[in-house]
Amino acid sequence: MALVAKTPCRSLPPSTLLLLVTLLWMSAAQASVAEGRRLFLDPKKGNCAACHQVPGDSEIKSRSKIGPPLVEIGKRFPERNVLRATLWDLGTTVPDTIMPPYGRHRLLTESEIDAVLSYIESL
Amino acid sequence: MFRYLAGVCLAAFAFSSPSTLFAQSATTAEQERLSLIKALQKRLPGTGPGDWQLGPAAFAGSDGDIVQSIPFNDENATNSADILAIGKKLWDRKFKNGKSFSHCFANSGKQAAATYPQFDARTKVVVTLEIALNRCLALHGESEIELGSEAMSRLLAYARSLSEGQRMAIKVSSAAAKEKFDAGQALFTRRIGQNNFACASCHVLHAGKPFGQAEPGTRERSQPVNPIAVGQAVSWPRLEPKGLVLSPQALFQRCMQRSGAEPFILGSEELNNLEYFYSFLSNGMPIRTLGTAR
Repeated sequence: MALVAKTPCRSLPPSTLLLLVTLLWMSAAQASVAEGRRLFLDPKKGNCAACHQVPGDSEIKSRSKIGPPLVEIGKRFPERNVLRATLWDLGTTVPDTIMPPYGRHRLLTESEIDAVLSYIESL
Repeated sequence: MFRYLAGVCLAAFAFSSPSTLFAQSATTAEQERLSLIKALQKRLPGTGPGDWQLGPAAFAGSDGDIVQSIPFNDENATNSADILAIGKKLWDRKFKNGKSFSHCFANSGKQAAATYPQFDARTKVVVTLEIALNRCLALHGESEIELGSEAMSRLLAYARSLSEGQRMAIKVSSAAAKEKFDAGQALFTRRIGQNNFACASCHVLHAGKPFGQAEPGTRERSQPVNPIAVGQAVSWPRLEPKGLVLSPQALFQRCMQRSGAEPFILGSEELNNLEYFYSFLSNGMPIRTLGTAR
């Protein structure tokens, strides 16, 4: 009992604990977006700006017209699974696509795909 | 190696559309070339082979884009002149037996390059201009020049320049030659490597489109453009910044690396066949060595 009383979290009021958890979650989400952006731009990983314009990110100067501009992702892909499948292997639905099959050919790990998705969805 | 094998294994079932760019009923190489031109014209309305032979320059200023092409600037003009001067020295060099390269080609080599690569009916292989140059050296007891070396790229550039303005006239005039052409076409449309690209992915399906990001220090709107398969061969070998010259097959290797594949080696049957097919696509277009204006 004495040990439990000394645990810091147990000594915090529930509202503060909730705030802390929320902040931690937001911090993790931001880290995921930042990691996703890094992978998105990395020429040896996503290299996505080589084909897509990113109007929502003013630091990316791509005018590429190979793929569609990445805008209104939430509207175009209300279900994350559909967007995820696009990254994993668009070739299953668009056979003549030039988009690399990031998942099927292991260009990105599953967690890296999720990070890229987080960045794209944040645009 | 894994990447290459993965690409090759997957290619068998993964590739669809680019291979259907060529008319299924086409029987001759020329019919297939015309079929591809038709497909490209649909994708690039308002343009034609006359524009495509200019390379990316044909698209400069269109749709508000400034595209990178081989710039006609002083630096490249100087580099181009220097490269050809070195190539000329190599071409003119007397062999130990008193002969030189001009003895190995009809008309002393003038207008010869426009007909290369050729199918050699005797050995039943494709002979590129580089291989022909090395055959000449071997015939006269000289050491061959390494494919892809700086010396070979300069010699190749000069040999091509002897056909400056000459219209490319690659021949595919037998069933055996057509087999090599078909093998080249098959590689052109085959997806390879971890990125799963085929030559046709960029140079047909997305030909003429800007890609990539503006390089640091360049204007924001400066973009490279995917060269178009028909017309690319006229400016081979390609002049790169700082006087680097890339042979056709060195360019193929670079694309294969970009696709995440282990490239075929220079002078391999695969790349020779690809160069044969690719060069044929530019038939009728005038050679512009190094792609620079002179």
